[in-house]
Amino acid sequence: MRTLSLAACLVAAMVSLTHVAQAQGNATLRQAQQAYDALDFSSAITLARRALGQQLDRNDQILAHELLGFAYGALDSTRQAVEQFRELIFIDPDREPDVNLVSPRITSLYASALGQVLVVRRLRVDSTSFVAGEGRLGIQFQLSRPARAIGRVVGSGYDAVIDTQLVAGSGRFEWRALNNDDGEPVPAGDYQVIVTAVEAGNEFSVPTDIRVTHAPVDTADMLTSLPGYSYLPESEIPPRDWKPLGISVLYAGLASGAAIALESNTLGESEREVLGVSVLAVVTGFIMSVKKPDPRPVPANIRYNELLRENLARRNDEIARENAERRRQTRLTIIPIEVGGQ
Amino acid sequence: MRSAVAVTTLLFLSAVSVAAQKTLRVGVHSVGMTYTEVNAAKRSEGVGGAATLALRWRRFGLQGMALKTRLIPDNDEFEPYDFVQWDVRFDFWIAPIIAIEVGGEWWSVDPEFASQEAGAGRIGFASQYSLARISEISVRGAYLVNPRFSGGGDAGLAVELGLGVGVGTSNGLFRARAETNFQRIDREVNGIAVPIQVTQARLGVVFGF
Repeated sequence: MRTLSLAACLVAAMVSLTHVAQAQGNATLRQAQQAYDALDFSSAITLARRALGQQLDRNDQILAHELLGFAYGALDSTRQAVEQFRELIFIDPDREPDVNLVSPRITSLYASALGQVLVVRRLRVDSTSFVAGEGRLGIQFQLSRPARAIGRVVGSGYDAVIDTQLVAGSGRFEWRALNNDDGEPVPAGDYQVIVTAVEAGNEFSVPTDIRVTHAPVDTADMLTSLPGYSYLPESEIPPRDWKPLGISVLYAGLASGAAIALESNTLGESEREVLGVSVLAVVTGFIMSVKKPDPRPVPANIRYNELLRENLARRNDEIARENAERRRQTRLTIIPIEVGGQ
Repeated sequence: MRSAVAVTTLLFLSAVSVAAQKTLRVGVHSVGMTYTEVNAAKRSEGVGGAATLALRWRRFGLQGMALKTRLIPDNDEFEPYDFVQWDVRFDFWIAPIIAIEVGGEWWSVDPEFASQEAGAGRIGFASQYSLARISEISVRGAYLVNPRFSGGGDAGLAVELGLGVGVGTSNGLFRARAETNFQRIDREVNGIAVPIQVTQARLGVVFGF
């Protein structure tokens, strides 16, 4: 059973090291890799340890510890494997075996190593843009063990602890990007967000760089109409009526009738002029009745339009005030530059 | 005197709301006229011209007219003569279409004694109604107060009636107007009835400013 398990582990280790052995700049480390690929784990361990004694860059250090962890794991040397994975985690906390490529045994060894160290992992700063004072930058991270996390932002002339909290698993800080003393937005430039995990004398910090830029806040356009509302016609053509004819008949009848009634018997008839003008008046009244009526004002619509205009003016006043306020504000855009660890 | 001042003050204080329209209107008219006095046999007809001037300010209106016609008697025994009339009216609009009207008129003839020369005050009413923006109709009636005649005498009943209609532009700058005026004056001299009846028809144009 043990033999089967070891064989399975070896196969998995070979597959996984295809992923491990990349970009090796050190010759000894390359030889160690070749020995590992040839399943000569003892030689691989010897060569990798020798490589660690040389001047290695960070990537080669990571590869060396990872190769050692895998090789010790293949040889069933649990303690040494965990020790190498711990070293690997300190150098690169975010690096971990791919569960799809690496055997469960190796991943369990890695998990065991992770549980023994205190590190800050998966520090993420999301790109964001907000009006100064009205938004926050979200900073997310994970701690390998429950501990107190301290968030700090450092930049040119700026150094502030933004939060501290006890974290088990995932944690989140928020940064308002304001000066603590005057509440003004922090100057544009590059800053470093540092999350430090502290636990009983152990301390581990991870920084990530961010860039803060300033921009004016967008102003709103003035409205020419209120959305969803439109002006109503202030006049309408009334239906045709015969009132003009009625009035003209009344006036003409009144005048001509009174003239006939008042006419002197002894002086004879002389109402020709009155009757002539009366006929003209009646004809005029008839024409005014049959022609297209004059448009007449609609008081309700006029009042409605006045209210609409008042509301539009009020809204534009508000927009003007908001724009004046926005011109004094600053839009902060924060983007991560690089994420690293130590 | 105090009551007159008080009434005038009240009239001015109440001068609100009636649209002023055009404050000044000037018109020229052709006139057709019939003048009859004493009996139907002494009847004259003629044509002439007239000029009108009207001022309007808030509830107040002032109108003046000068008219001249050449009257030709029906009876060939009489000579044609000129008839000149002066007319003045003052309106106070107590409602948008109703006004109180006071004023006076007098007329003269040439040659002298061709007919009566007369003058009288007037008190009455006027009404004007807008048939449309381009047209209005008006009617008026008045009692002629204390008429005086060159031949003497007085009048018990003296009234006048008027009717007018106008059509023009909607902005009121121009109006074609037809107007008529009818007057009956029951003049008596030494208990003898010598009535006068005057009818006029005027057709002209009025310009508003």
